Amino acid sequence: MNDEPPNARSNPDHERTRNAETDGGLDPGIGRNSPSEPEPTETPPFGEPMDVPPEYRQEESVVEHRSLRSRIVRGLREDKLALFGAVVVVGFVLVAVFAPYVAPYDPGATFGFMQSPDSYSQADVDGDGSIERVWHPLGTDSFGYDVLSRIIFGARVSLAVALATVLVAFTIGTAIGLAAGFYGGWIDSVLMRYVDFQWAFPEIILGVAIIAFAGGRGVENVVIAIGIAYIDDFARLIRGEVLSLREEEYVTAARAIGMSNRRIMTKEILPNAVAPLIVQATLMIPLAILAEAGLSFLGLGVSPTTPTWGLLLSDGRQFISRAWWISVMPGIAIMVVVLAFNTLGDGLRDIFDVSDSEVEQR
Amino acid sequence: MSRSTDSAPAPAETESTSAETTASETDVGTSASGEANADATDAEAPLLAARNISKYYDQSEGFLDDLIGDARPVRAVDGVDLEVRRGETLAVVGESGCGKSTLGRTLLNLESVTGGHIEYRGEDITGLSGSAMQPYRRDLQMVFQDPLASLNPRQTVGEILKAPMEVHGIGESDEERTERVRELLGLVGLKEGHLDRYPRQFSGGQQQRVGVARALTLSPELIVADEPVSALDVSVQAQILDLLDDLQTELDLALCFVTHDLSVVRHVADRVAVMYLGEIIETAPVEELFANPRHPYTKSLLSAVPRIDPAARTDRTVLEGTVPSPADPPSGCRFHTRCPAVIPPAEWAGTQAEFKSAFTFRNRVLGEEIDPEAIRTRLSAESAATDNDAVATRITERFVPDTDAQLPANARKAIENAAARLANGETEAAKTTVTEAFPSPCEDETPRDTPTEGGHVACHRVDPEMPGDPDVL
Repeated sequence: MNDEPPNARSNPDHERTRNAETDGGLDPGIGRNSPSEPEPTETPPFGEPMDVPPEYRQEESVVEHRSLRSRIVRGLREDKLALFGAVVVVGFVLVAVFAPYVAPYDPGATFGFMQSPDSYSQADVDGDGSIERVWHPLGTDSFGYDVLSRIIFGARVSLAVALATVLVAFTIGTAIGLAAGFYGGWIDSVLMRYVDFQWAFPEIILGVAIIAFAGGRGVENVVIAIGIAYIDDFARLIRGEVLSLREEEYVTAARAIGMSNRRIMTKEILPNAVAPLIVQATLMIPLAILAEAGLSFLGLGVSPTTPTWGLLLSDGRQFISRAWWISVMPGIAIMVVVLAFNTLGDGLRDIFDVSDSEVEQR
Repeated sequence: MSRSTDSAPAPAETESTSAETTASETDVGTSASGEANADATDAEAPLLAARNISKYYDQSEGFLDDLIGDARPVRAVDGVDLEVRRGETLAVVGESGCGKSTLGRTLLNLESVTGGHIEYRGEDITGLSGSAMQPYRRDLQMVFQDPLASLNPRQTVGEILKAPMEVHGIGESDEERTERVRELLGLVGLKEGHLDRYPRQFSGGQQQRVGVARALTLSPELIVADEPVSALDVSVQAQILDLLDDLQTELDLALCFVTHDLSVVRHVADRVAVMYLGEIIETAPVEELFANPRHPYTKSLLSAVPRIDPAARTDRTVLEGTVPSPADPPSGCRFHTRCPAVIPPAEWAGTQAEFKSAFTFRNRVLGEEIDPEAIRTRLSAESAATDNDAVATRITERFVPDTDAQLPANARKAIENAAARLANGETEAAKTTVTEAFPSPCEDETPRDTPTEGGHVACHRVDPEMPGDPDVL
């Protein structure tokens, strides 16, 4: 408080106020213990002891501020299960991204048919004419493809489709929920009736209908089909958030300075509603993986030849009694990823559930 | 209040010219303050004027509520006339729930009015939509009650303070706006280093300084401060009040200060408007109001202000009963159910205190506050007789004791009558009895605004054309 503000006025009254505040002179009985904090009777922020010299106190509180990201990092460190989920998710994403380098063989390379896990076959893998002995940790399928390589390449499509799907649902759902919650009235009625209508449809049936309507299989159509089917979850969630947030005083304050509705929605309300959305998105991804697998299983997946987890599962079903691993192995992959996303989502929800103040003071 | 006229001369006449006159006199009154300013601007057109504005809140939702529910609207603000002049501080005082905060928000078009007009410099700004209201937002700003709630928790102070400038296109670049924000922080007594902090990292007083700084960003003409210090510690309250006071003098601001705290009013206000159940019942310059309150309600409010000097302590006028529901306000003068100076009918033979005693009984009966069955249970617990007569006697003794007021015989008779009917379970008959026995002119007619020293008051006792001695209380 010793640096004068650049435009300090020479008004004596004004000087008096500021001085009274800095030396606690306004109310001599209070404020002796920390002379340069104007409101010493308040609980010191972030749990520092009262006698920390004020010059340190300020520095520290800046460092101590919790951004969304630092809260997530901190929360994950404490919640081991969520951390495990995060590690598995990241692991799968990395494997998917670097599939050509990670997968032992080309997903289109054929070997011996229906070899059991941990078996070997003879093949010319690198194409130099010499036959080598190759290992199939998860066996091969009915066409002689290596199951592990198929699963690794399948992760690419499955995860990408899931992420894109959730992104579509997130974007459209947020827009709908934001508008419905913020404007209320007939806009709310129309939008939410649409959401109800959609909610009443089983997702898979809706997906099938949309794919049929969009003209058949294909990555984009699958993404659109599943994405649309999940709009309602996001729309409902964000509408509920907005309904409470729009009554906040800072929204009134934003209107008082003449802020446009659009800016209020995007700058004032949305950032405060984003935490539950992140949780929801994390929990929707496994559902999207399953939905994609379901569509693939029904033969409405991305394409009959592109390996996805659902398609692998589906391909193996007629051989389930003779070669269980063809279906079970991709099934395990699906299960592990879904589980990982769910634990991560639950962990994130716990992190965000703690009210802001508690986190700040921890 | 609906028929009230303000002390400012012929508002309709000055409407058209006021905008130019006031605009051309931008540097008038920079140094003037307090009453001098208030007096000097008396002849001027007001900066912001409310003309008979109302704000009703509909309680019903959908047609089912209309059929079976409570469909009466809550009249938060009901026919208020108010003027804020340039550079003055107008305090709006009242109990919680009297509609003063709603009035503040309505003045700034943050709530749409149900009726009436709001004029800014003579221009009608009633119900302007977002974009049409935009230019006026620069001049009309607000400071909120809960400083933390009014600041977006996800934005730094810098972002919060830059937002108004971005919205109104002030400043060429982000650097220029940041520079202006630094100035503002200095002006409200915060440091430049606070720019990148989040609201939660401040103490309550500092948060409110940010709130004040935000209101100042657009260099407004008028700030509505809705209980700006009631959420703060007492020691911090004084700092914020001083800050507002200094800023007002420096920047020639008009302040509309909404508060329930009369000690704060004395500290900051030039003029005071006292509100009761959605109506303004008295306005006066602050010195006049504290020295010579006219309305019985104002008097009782003032008598409730704690005083340090024992010699200055007077008998407190304690108001009886609770504030009536704004959905169903009392007829006539809305204060008559609780007024210590309620006017007796012409034929009343006793004294004012006696009438008040009988009138209080009447209101208890009308409000169904007396439960004869509870009294019967009580009597049986005391192993006394529990027949209707005993209950009636107990009601009379309990609510209108002889020691309290020697009522005229016919009044005493009427009370005993009503008590007997209550004991009989004939509540409606008891109501009729007391209504007929104890009428008051106060319940019949809405009091008119009677001009007083620099203000006006709406009370039958003050109105020379109405019965009732003004000096009773």
